[in-house]
Amino acid sequence: MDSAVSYKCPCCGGTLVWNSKKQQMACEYCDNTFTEEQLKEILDLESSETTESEMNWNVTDETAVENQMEHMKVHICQSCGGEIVGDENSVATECVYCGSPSIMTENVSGVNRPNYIIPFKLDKKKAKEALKGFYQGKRLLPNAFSSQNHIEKITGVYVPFWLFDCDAQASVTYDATKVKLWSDSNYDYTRTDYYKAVREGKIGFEKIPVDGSSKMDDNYMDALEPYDYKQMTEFSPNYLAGYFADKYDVDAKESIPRANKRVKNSAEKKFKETVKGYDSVVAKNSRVNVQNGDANYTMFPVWMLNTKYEGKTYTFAMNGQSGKMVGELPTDKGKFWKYLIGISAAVFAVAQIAVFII
Amino acid sequence: MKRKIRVLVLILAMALGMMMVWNVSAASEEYYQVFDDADLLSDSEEESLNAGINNIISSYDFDVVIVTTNSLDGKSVSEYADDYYDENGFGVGDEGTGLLFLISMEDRDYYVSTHGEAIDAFTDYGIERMKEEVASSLSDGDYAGGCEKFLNVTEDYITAYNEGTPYDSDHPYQESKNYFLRELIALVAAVAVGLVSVLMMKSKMNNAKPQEYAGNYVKKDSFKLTKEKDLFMYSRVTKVKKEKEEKGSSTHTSSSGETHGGGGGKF
Repeated sequence: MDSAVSYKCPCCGGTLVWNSKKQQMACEYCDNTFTEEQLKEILDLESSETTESEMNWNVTDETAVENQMEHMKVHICQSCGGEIVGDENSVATECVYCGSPSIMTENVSGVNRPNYIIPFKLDKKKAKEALKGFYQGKRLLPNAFSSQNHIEKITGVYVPFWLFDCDAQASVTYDATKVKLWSDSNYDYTRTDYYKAVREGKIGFEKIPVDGSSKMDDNYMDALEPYDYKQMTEFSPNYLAGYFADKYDVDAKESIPRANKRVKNSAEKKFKETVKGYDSVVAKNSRVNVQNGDANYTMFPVWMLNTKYEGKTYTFAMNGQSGKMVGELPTDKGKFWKYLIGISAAVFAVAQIAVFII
Repeated sequence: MKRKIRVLVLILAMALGMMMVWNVSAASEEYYQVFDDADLLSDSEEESLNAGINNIISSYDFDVVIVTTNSLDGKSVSEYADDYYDENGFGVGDEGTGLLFLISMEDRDYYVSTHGEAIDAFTDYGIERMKEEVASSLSDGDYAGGCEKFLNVTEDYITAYNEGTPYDSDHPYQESKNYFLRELIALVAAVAVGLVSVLMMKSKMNNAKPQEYAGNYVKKDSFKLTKEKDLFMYSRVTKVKKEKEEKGSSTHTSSSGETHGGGGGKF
């Protein structure tokens, strides 16, 4: 007796039969032929496809007593609950986050001390100039915004960031196709060859920054990147003089999902780049395992600028090292429609040439 | 005296000759080309059509005949039209260039039979296109109007043929441009361009966007593939029949052995 294994066609699901002429397994429905070896490999691949990822980070709570700073003041906003820390000489008159002047100041001890810090490189004046520059080229900005919008508050804040290091082990299966087109006198033909591409390997990441402040908008903090890590040094409380510091209230563990997302996306992208020579490549299955994950508590310099326009507060953040400005500007509805109608009308007018000549 | 008579004879002969020449030319100006056997046309309509045909004959050296009949005598429309043309010796020049427009009331058919150069001037496309011009008038019982349109189209076809490019599938005849649709497409495209431009301006207003990748933080030389395998699975071939554009004129041979082109339809 032969082995009673009956193979199904990977292409159409039809039952494969032995074709003695071709000396291969053949499908009666879609005309594909397969060697025994090829079929086993395809089966192997399909059964091993899983999507579970293991993300193991060796991250602990950083509450060791020897790692704390003494003689600090915490300024608590009575309006939004935002907390900001400064050295014992610091004075806060307005909340960095919401602009409210009702601030309560307390002496605190036991503020966690970061491992590293990037000191401020740009001063208040540079931040003001950068905001003016930020308005340039924004066509939908209300005309009065730049003249009537006053900087209410400008604060230099050290924002807590977790810097994640990890090694990632990835295994990704891709469905890929090659497409060939040709014609004879009667028909146009399309031949699509289907492939499975398997990529396994490792990739390491270091110092992926994720902000540890729930008060700071995650999108703003992400958009401030990149920082130049060459200027990152061991933390010393001296750097805080004249600036405020934000206490982290999102610990390393809670920040892991944001790092994971970026590790996974980047690993998949990097591996996909190695699947070459195809007309289409789609990740079918991806497993990214993280090992040796570690997080370092760091402070990055950010200028926070609060402005008011027509009673509404607008917040901008500037990378205190590179000067990159991040923020959301209001859109002038009138300008929006003026540009929409103007551009459409201009294109429509030019299109008349095509309408009537062709 | 003898001399006077001679001069008189000469003058008479010249006058006679001139009259003859004038007669001949007058006769050549008025061929009779409309044979309304089914009596679908009034006398004045016949005259008007005849004048139009004579104008084409003298301008383009293309013979044009209009025939109406109540009975095809057991023949097909194409046989009837071809034979009518051949047996009555229509056509101009060595090739017998010309065409015949037949309206048969037996089964309400019309047919255009072409011969000589007219075969090339009236392509299969052209004859099919002519249907759009004449069929509706014929259906409405406006036979004179149908014939009038036939003559108009004929003159246009001959003109295009003389200019070197007869109307064909790649050279359409007065395809009415659908301006409404074109304007609509232009409007939609213009608004799309406007919308994309303005949305691009709008997206510039907010640059606080989350980071989805960590490509800047890849450890140097840490990327290593441990397994790289590309496995061919199977193929699929699909085929789509090509749409073919027919060009030129198809021909057939009439009972008298003459080559004719043409076509027609019901009305």
